[in-house]
Amino acid sequence: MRVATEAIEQAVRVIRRRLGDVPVWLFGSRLDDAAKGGDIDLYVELSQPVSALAVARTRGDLADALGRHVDLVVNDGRSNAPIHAIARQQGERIA
Amino acid sequence: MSVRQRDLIARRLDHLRRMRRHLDYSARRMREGDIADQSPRRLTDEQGEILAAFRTRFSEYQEQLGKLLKAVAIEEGVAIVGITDVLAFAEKAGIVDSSEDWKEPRDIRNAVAHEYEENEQLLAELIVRMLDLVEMLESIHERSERYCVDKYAVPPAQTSQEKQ
Repeated sequence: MRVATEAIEQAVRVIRRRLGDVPVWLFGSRLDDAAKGGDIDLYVELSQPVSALAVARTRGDLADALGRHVDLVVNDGRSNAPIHAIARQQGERIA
Repeated sequence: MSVRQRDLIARRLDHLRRMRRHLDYSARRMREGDIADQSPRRLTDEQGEILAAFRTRFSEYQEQLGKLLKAVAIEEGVAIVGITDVLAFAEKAGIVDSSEDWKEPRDIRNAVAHEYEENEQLLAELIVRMLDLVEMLESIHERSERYCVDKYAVPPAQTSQEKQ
């Protein structure tokens, strides 16, 4: 995993402050130790629908806290996007 | 403050006043046509154009406002590493009540760009809020202008009567 523990902890704090006590996965290129650079891809699952505003604010808070773009994928059960299954299967749960 | 810097800030303020007028026009057309409440996919070509103009004007207005705040913060000797430093100055100067007042419109316009092709239900929710936040940006603009007029003696905005 190519993300510092401190950054992971900070990201989880930010996400949970906005979206509640949700499970969080890291997925994508940051799990590949041989790769270089790349966005931080995070996936969260919620048991009930969340507003677009809350997701927008969470993305903004993450970028502010980590000082870089973070790609946050949110699954609140309203859609069944392929990326949800990929993130869950290939990702690593971090909280 | 040098004459050159005062001119620069005065020019930025002048530009912002024009941008605000254009944004107000687009926001009014959005409201009159109830465009924010409609599914983006069902908009007519004309309504789509009104929405596109509103989104662009909202984004550019906030960007330009951010440039003004940064210029003023630098003038006041603030060491700027990122937007957080600019917002901390703006809070201290009473230009924004909270940095959240700035971040919410920023986050929403970023999200609108993100959701544009992906989820029109989410997009509609964001556009409605974006329309509400015009007033917030304009309040920050007004307070920035008052700060510059008081502190740097830049010319205040002319009223429509003065222009005539």
